Amino acid sequence: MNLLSYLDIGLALLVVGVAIWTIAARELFAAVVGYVAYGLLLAFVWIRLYAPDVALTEAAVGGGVTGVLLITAGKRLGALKNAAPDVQPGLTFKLLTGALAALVASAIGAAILMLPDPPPSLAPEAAAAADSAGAGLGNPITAVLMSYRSFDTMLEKIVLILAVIGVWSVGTDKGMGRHTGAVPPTQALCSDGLSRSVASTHRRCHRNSYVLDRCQRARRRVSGRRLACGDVDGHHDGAAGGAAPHRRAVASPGFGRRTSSIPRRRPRGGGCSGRLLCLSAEPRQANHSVHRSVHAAVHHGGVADARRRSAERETGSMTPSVLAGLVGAALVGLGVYGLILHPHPLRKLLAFNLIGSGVFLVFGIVARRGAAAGFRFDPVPQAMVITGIVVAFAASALAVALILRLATETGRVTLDPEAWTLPKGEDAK
Amino acid sequence: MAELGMTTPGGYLLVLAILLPLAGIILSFIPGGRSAERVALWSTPFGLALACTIAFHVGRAGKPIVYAIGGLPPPLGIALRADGIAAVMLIAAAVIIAAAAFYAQAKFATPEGVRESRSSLTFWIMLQAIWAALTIIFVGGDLFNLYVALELLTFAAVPLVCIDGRPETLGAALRYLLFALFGSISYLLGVALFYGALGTLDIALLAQRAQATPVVWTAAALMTAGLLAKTAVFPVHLWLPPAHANAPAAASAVLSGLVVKGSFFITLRLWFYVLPSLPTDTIAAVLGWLGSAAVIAGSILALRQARLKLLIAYSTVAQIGYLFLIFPLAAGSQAWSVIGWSAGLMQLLAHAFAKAAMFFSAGLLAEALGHDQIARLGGAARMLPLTFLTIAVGGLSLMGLPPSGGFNAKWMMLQASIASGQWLWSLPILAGSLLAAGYVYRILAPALSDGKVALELLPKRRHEAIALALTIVAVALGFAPQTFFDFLEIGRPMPAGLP
Repeated sequence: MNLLSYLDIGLALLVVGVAIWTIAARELFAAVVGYVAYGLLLAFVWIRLYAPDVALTEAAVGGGVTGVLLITAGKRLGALKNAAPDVQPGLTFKLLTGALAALVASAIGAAILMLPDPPPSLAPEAAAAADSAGAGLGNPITAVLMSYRSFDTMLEKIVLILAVIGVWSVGTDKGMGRHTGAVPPTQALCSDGLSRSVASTHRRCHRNSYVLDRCQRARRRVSGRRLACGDVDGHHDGAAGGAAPHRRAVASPGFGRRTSSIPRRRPRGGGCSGRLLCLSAEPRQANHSVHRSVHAAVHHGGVADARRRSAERETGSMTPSVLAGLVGAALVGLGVYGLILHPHPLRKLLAFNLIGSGVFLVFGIVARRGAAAGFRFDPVPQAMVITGIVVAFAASALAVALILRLATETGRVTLDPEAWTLPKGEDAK
Repeated sequence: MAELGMTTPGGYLLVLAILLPLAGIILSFIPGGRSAERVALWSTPFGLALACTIAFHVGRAGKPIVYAIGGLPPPLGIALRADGIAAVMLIAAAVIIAAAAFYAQAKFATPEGVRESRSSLTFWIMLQAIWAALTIIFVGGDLFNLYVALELLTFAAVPLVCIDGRPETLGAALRYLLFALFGSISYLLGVALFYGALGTLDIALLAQRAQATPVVWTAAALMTAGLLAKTAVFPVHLWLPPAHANAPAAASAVLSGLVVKGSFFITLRLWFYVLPSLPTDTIAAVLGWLGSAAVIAGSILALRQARLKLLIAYSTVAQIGYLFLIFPLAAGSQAWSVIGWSAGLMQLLAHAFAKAAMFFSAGLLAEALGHDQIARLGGAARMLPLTFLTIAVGGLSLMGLPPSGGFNAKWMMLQASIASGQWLWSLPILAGSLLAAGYVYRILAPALSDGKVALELLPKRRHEAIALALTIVAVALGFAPQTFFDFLEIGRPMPAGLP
């Protein structure tokens, strides 16, 4: 156990603690704020799993934009009278749900501990593929996303298009075409504002992956040279320790130049078209700092890499990846608890997002375990996580649109069917 | 088995079948809302022709046709495979989507001079999106790809439920969305564990590598739980009746006839194609019990509904229950398991056609009468003979009376349960048929009695004909020849390695 392992354990406890807060908080607003903090913390877990791409996507989309979406929705709902359903679940129901959630979490945790060793991985194939002339993309994840799993990526775009249309369709026809007169604020948010926000998030994801691609292409060049010295997943630790620092020193000026050519964030003042768009500048700033720390990790992590990796082997079951897997299992359990127990649909949506991020963490540790052939991770599951995060965000947007419209129509937010049906005799058609 | 991921002759057809509806989605909103309807209507005949050509190729080759996307074979790439059941389901989906499109033309058309509306553009786009998602689900060969397709299906189906924006439809859509999201995230967790344990997500490769380890069992259990929530099997059926009963009739027909079959289809893929070599007796029994409970509970709830569309929706819950009897009745590689397999797929097809026709008729009825209260149907059959003929014939198939696809399915299920010595399963089959007779009688008895109803408007002959044509398909399935059942077996892995 060195300092890093303590930090890892601390981070894991913090993530789970904030997740518990998100589920247990009495106020909707407090829960949503907890969720935003949780999303940022999760980005650090992803960095510890050597997944800067996912860390960026999680910080920007998972925590940032989804958080903004939920905060805005929460504020709107708070303004409505009688919005929150006042039914509180009984103690027996709570205990049963808790038992179920614990069962689910422990089953997943056990499955993660029992994953096969040595882990199966597509990293060698992906490495060969990314190097081959055909792919032509430096970043292995981009290579997987753009060529090998291009079909998934295409479908992800269709899912986003459908989400935009779905969110738009929930609006009323009054907003259709040219604006004729004042549109009520809720309605505007339901339909066009939200659609715009879905679309702009998508654009931002693209910009992120572009920036990352450039920086990672440079990094690949560095690690590719290191690969030539024989630092292949810790088999030749001695050779790596001796030769790699020198090579890296040669390569880093180029790396630095690359970094400086990353487009800087332009200040945006009056150019914002909607409230959601303005708010979204913040996550991007966070990206940049995350981004820098990724660079630091790449530089400094490399020196201690071989040593640290053997240390990981020694400490056995408490490697960062196993720890992250157990955090993932705990998050899924917490999410299941919240999803069943909370009567408020927005709280259910928060719980769903907790489950989602737990599932993505499981993908993350599968990717980390598959590290081989100069890759710190198996790029295939990581590519899947990025697809998954985008799809989960689209789902949240659609759900929020439905919740807001339901609140506008009925003045209540509840999943209780009694509240939707009109008084008897009127529900004829 | 290296050829598993290689493109076979005719493989490009699978890509075309997926691209057709996807291109339709893009085309629908580029030239504007008015043309969406024309795009959707025009693409359906082509889609049907493509599905038939795929079936022809599969039948001629006698083995699945495969397309490796981008020439990149699995495990790194994604393969599309069409086997017997995929080809048949492609045809069924194309027929029902086409019927729904022509049926909905009156309601969602935007001719010149009429103001464009959100609902009509949404309807045409989502209809094509459902079609695309189902096509991918039927031919997809990769578990993660199937996840994205499942999400596509959800995102297309939910806006259809609340297309007219009434509060109860919004609530139903929200509940549907939350169940569906839970289902897909649970499925996705299973996918992660599968990849962690076996290093691939390609169905054919997984089938070779799968072993009965705890991780594989956990993954399969999570995926099944998620798929059950999406298929609305009995304990998690709560979302289905309000969602299906409140949607417009054309959407209800697609949702009940096809969309719930999408997630069921993946459940079949999981247990019969990914894990055929595992000893699945316990799981099969659990699924069989859930199915039986769904048959009984769904039918009883259907008997108690006051609204026709809700009755039909609860009948869907019951008929989905039958589908899950395929797991105990088609397990293993004995002679009876072939009968059980045929029976399950026959039920899938017969229900899809019969239920779509019944929802179409219920829609026509509601439009003609201005309500769909069963108690106020007195004498309606005399005014709307063709509509009630459709409901009656569709009902025959649901009950399992000959000649119909439903009879064929239930008869073969009984045969399989007796031949396999699992005669216990014959009880829910028979009870379900009796209860179905009860709820179909509940619709027909008042309609055939004396009474007088005022029609608000007369349904168009064309719409009645579409509904009737679908029930005729359901009846014709009762005369399916043996070659049809042999076709369904194409590409089904046989669990030869059972201990």
